[in-house]
Formats: sequence, structure tokens, C-alpha cells
Amino acid sequence: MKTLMPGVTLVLLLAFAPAVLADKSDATNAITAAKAMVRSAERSGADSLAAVELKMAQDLLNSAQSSLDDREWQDAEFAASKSQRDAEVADSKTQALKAEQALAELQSVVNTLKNELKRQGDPQ
Amino acid sequence: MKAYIPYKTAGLALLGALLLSACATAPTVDPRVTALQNKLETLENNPQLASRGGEALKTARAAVQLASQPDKRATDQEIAYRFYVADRLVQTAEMRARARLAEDRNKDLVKEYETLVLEARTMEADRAREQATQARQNTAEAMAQRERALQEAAEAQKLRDEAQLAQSVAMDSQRAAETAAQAARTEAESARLSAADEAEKARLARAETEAARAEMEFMRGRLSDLEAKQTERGLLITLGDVLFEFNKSELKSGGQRNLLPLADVLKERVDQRVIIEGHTDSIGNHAYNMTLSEKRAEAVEQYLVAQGVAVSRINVQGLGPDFPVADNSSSEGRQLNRRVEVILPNLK
Repeated sequence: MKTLMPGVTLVLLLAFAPAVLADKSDATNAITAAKAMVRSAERSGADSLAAVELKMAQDLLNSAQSSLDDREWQDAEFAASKSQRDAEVADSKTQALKAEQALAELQSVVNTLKNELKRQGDPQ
Repeated sequence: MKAYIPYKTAGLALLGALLLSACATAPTVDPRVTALQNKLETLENNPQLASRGGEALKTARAAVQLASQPDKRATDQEIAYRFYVADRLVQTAEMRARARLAEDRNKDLVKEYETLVLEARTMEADRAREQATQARQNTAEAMAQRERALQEAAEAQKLRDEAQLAQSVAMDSQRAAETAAQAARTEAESARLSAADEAEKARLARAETEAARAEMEFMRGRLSDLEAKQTERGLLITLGDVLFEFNKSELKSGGQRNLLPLADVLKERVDQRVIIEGHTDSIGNHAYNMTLSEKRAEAVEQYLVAQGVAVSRINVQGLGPDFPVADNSSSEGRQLNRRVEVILPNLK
């Protein structure tokens, strides 16, 4: 295993952050971050291209909100962080599928053009 | 976010882990670890995706490593959480790599597309040029054909014109020949007619001449005493000055006798016209001579009228000395010039 870069370490620390003794503000911050990520995924079109992932993120976000209401700060923070990761998956999947879709369309155009050229290039 | 930096948590976790590992007997590999590592390995083994992993892949790799490490201090919830997060981070890394791969391929494809479009345009331009050349050739050929057709038409027209001209010339010649024949016929007829006419005229003229000569002979016979002479103007009878006394205009009685045969002839030939002209010699006043010559001519006229000749048949003129028949310098000449001339013009 490679030595972890300091930047990566920081990210990891953030990712694995839920403190044992999380308080209300930790939970609220996590929920805010998760909510932002979910909204971002929704805007990019995840509801159609990564519906399952988005649904998981939304469910976890709701669960986090419930835990917050129940003053279960720890549970709320865990759920919120997991929701954020799922939202990231939903968002990145949406981007990947869009790029692949665009690629496929362009490929189709190029293939058509190629065939056309081949047909025209043949002696008439 | 500083709240997430777990100094105390890390310390407690480390202590817990030491305690847990001390109690552990035969540590078994967590199946979740295997699953997670397999998932990461699949991604890493795909060179196209692995090379495009970037920061996300590094993070995922670290998360998997961390989650794979046994941690006795962590609660079950924490450990589950680590697996969950590591798994999602691997998925995110894979999706990001797939997106970048698609984008890279897209860029290459755009270049290929541009090359193809260029090729298509070149090909199209080539074909357009080819078509233009063909069209020019076709046009030139069509023009040549048209030219040939026009030439042929012109030649045909020329032949037609020539034929028409020849026909027209032939018709003209025929017409001219017919006209000429007709003219010849007409002329011949007219010549024949005119010859007959001329012959008739000649015959009449001969008859007339014969009659005139007979008449003249008759007249001359009757007027033999008066010495009638045939002249251009007609039968001319010259009456000398013997008819009148000198400078007088009355006829002498002897003169009247001389004129008797003339009066007789004129009474017989009632159609015969008479011209009487008085002449003098050059002696004396011209005006006087003119009057004298006129009076002498009138004297002859009066005698003839008295003898029964109609005055309407007679013309009288006094011409004085202007028409001498002889030299006025001698008395014989002057005697000849003093005269009255009677002309019978019908007897030419």
C-alpha cells in the first residue's frame, strides 16, 4: 500500500468523521452537507439516470432528519454522511451515463458518416 | 468541520483496538473486506478506468485500506459505516473514471468526425467539379450538334431556294416565250392589216392623184389663155399690169375679158377656193403701194363676185412691193413686178 497523501488523509478523516460524541451541531452540519449534495444530484438529472442511488440518498437524508428530531445526534450524523456518499454516487453516475450517452450518439453520427463516405467513395 | 477531527476518538479507538487484539484468538477475514477489495481490484485492473481515477480513486483506495484494517475499538455501527462509505467511494471513483473515459473518447471522436466531414466535403467538391466538367462537355456537345443542325437546315434551304429560282426562271422563260409569240402574232396581224391598209391608201392616193391631175389638166386646159402655171402653192395665174391703167385700180375693159375664163371655171367648180394677191413695183411710197396693190386685188375680187363667185370663197391681200418677181431697176422688170396673182390652192 502506498503512503497516503496528506490531502487524501484529510478527506478520509472527514469521510470517517462521525464522532462518538457527536453533538447537535455536528448532526446539523452533516445534514446540511448531505442535503446540498442530494439537491445537486437531483438537478443533474439523477432521478432518471440514477434513481436507485438517489432514492437511497433521499431515504438516508429523511432518516437523518428523523434522528435529528429525536435528538439522536450520532445516528443523525451517520445517516447524513451516508446520504451524502450515496448522493455523490448518484451524481457521478448521472454524469458518467450522460457522457457515455453523448459518446454513443456521436459514435452513431460518425458511423453514419463513415458509411456514407464509404458508399460515395465506391465507384459509381 | 473541525469537530470531525477525532483526537480523543482516535486515542480511545487505539486503546480499544489494542485491548481487542489482545483478546483475539483466531482472527477470520471479514467477508465484507473481501467484497470491498474485489470491487476495488476490478476497478484497478481496468487500465482505462484506473488511469482516469484521479483523486476519487486515491480516496477510495485509502478508504478501502482503512475499512479493511481491523479496529477493535470501533463500534459495529462505526465499522459498518466505514464499509458503507468505502464502498460508495469506490463506486464514485468508478463513475468519475467512466465519465472521464467517455469524455476522452468523445474528444477523439470529435476529431474523427471533423476529419470525416472534411473528407466528405472534399469528396463532394471533387464530385461537383467532375459534374461541372461533365456538364461543360455536354453543353459543348449540344452546341456542336445544334451548329450542325443549323448548317444542314441552311443547306436544305439553299437547295430549296435554288430549285424555286430555277422553277421561277423556267416559268418566266415560258411566259416570255408565250408573250413573244403572242406579240409576234399580233405584230404579224397588225403588219398584215397595215399592209392592206397601206395598199388601200396607196390605191386611194393614186386615185386621188389621178383625179387631181385630171382636174389640173382640165383647169389648165380651160385657163390656157391665162397661162396658168403649176406651183408649190397651187395653180398660179399671173395677171400683168395690162389689166389696169397706170396708178389706177379699176379694171380695164380688156382686162375684164381676160378674166372671163377664170370666172367660168370658178362657177363650174364651186368648191374651188381663190386667193388674190396684189403686187406693185418699188417706185413710190410704200404705204401707198400697199393700198394700191390691195385695191387692185379687190377689183379682181369684185369682178369675180359680179360674175357669180361667192365672196366667201375668195381671199384678198395687198402685198405692195415686198415680193418682186423681177429686177425693179429696169422698166421691164418693174412691169413684171406690177401684177395681180390668182392662186387656186386646191389644185396642188
